[in-house]
Amino acid sequence: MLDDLTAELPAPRDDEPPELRTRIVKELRDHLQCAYQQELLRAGDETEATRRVLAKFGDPAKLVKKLWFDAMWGKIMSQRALAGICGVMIAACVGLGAITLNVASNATKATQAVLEQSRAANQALLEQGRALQQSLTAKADSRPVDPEWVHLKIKLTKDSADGPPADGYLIKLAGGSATNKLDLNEKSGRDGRLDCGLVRAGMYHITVETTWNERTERKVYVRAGQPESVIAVVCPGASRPRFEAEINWPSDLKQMPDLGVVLSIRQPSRRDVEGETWDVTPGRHYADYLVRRYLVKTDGSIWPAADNQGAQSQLGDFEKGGRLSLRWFQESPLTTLKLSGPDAQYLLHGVAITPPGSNPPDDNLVRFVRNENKEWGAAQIEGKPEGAQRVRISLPEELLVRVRERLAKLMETGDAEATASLVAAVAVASDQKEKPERPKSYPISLNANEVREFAPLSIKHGGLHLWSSEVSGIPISCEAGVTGMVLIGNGSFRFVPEGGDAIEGHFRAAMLRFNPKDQREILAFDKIPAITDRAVHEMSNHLLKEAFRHCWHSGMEALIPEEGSLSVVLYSKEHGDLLISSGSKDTIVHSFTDRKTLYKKGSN
Amino acid sequence: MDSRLLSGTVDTLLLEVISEGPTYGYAIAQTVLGRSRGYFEITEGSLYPALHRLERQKLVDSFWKEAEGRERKYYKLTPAGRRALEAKKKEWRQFVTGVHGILGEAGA
Repeated sequence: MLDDLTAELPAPRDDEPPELRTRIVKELRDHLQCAYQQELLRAGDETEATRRVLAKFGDPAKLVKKLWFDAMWGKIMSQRALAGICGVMIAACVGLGAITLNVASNATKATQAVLEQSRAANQALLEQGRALQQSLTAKADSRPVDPEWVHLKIKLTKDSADGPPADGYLIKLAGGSATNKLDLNEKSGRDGRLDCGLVRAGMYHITVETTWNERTERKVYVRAGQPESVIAVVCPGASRPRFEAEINWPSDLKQMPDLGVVLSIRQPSRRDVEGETWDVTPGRHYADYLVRRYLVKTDGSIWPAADNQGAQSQLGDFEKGGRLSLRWFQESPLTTLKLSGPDAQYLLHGVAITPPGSNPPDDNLVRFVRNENKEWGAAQIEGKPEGAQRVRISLPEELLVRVRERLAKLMETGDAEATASLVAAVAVASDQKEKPERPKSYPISLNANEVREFAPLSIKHGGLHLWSSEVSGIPISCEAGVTGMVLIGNGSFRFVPEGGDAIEGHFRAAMLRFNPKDQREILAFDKIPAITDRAVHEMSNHLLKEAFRHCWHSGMEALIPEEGSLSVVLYSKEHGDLLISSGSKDTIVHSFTDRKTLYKKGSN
Repeated sequence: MDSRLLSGTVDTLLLEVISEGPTYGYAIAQTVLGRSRGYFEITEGSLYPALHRLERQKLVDSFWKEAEGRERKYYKLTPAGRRALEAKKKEWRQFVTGVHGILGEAGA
């Protein structure tokens, strides 16, 4: 019906105000939309609301015509009066044929121009009428009845704003006033969307949860005066890769029933998806990491630390050197140690020798061989596995040596607390292999008067090339000789591992570790005069506090690398804190900054 | 009600509503309807011709302003409109008094 809004209007006139028709239509359009909103509130149905509005309004075309004529009435009357005068004038001039013909010709052209003008104007008005009708009758445009009420929709996508729809994710929307409370709890549809219907403008709290219980939450503000508001949330498309960890026990210890490893697993509590923070594990978290401790016994049973605060507190004391009790662990063991990667880390506290036949939560203290290396290890997996993968956590050889020593001592002393099976097992192990020797470690020292200035420096050893035009170095000395050097200054490096891609970059500082017997071959500095440089000495001391524990160490004492091996810790512009270590058995390149192993080859 | 009773008073009612501040067609109709408790329902066919007429008579002035995402025409009273309203109200009170005098009812 509104298509005919201008049908009854005469052709536009030259003396018509240019926006007269447009403004009439605009004003009526506004009125109709106001009436529609009101009727929608009453009827609750768009079709019925539209019907009522049009029934009450009557014929808009007639009203448009009336308003137009009212506006143009004075001008039309003036024109008619003018036309009468013109008629008189034309009659008076009828004798002037040539002139009259000329006038008639011009009048024809003017009439055609007016008709063209009229057609164009009518077309424009018709378009406005169509737009008006569409705004009233389109079902999809469910315009809210009140500016305070907004049609709210939630759109979920996977991994990016233009990613595939995230279907089946749980959406919780809560908020509103006490009298108008909203508490919505529904899943997104196949298109990743949820139509929340009309909600009152204001602040709401939205929570989105994946099918694997990862969730995000935030406040959203629904602003008044908008017909529709869409909240877009970018969700993780898949759960973090999961894998199972197990302890790689040596065969001689594996058969002992009363041994266990105490370790902590640290996992990031959140992850970032396109700027949205998602909690990767259920519940609210106030720390960046979730840390859980476990006792993993040789029989495969896994005993999580008890959740109560007392146990947590006692375990905290244990970490500072206190004793360990089995009652601080849960009584029901797990069969698998599940981790979600790729950022899970573990910290080996040490090996527990439990009383015979005791299991958590027996009220028994345990003997404990502490791990000296208090560094978090990365339990990383490569790629994106389809299912759970296994990661084997190996115990440091130095720790195993001390565990064996402790067991042997128990056997020798016949300690009443030592289980018969344990003693027997140790006896078997002792028969099978020679008593292991604990590697000797040496206190280290740096001397500010022994600084060397290398200009230039070039080291080539085992696939590693390290060079600099000018760099200062201070030897790391111990009783066995010079076992390394700290380099302060800029340089470059390139390492080409066997069967691997080249790893190269620039360093700002470095620490070298080698066997004292190899010092002259790797880094000859005997002919370079020693100078005193307290700055290099101080910086090197600071650097060693972090870097020294990366390789060949027992705490802050030096273990002597095997001959021919070279380990370098580089503070690289490209890689951060980077370890390149190569020996006769093992080669590893590991970025401590990225917690990522870039290359690994060998037994460990 | 007999629409003829309303027709003579439409201008007065519109001027009175507009005198309270700038307003627009739909709001004017709703105000009249509400204050009269549904007694005076000014149809669009009466409302807009009356408003436009008052505008041509320069008793009201108009301006356009965006509201709810679209342009809306607002009306406001001119000084001449305010004087005309006072005159019409005075005239109406006299009319009511006269009618009451004849019908024998208490004054408004």
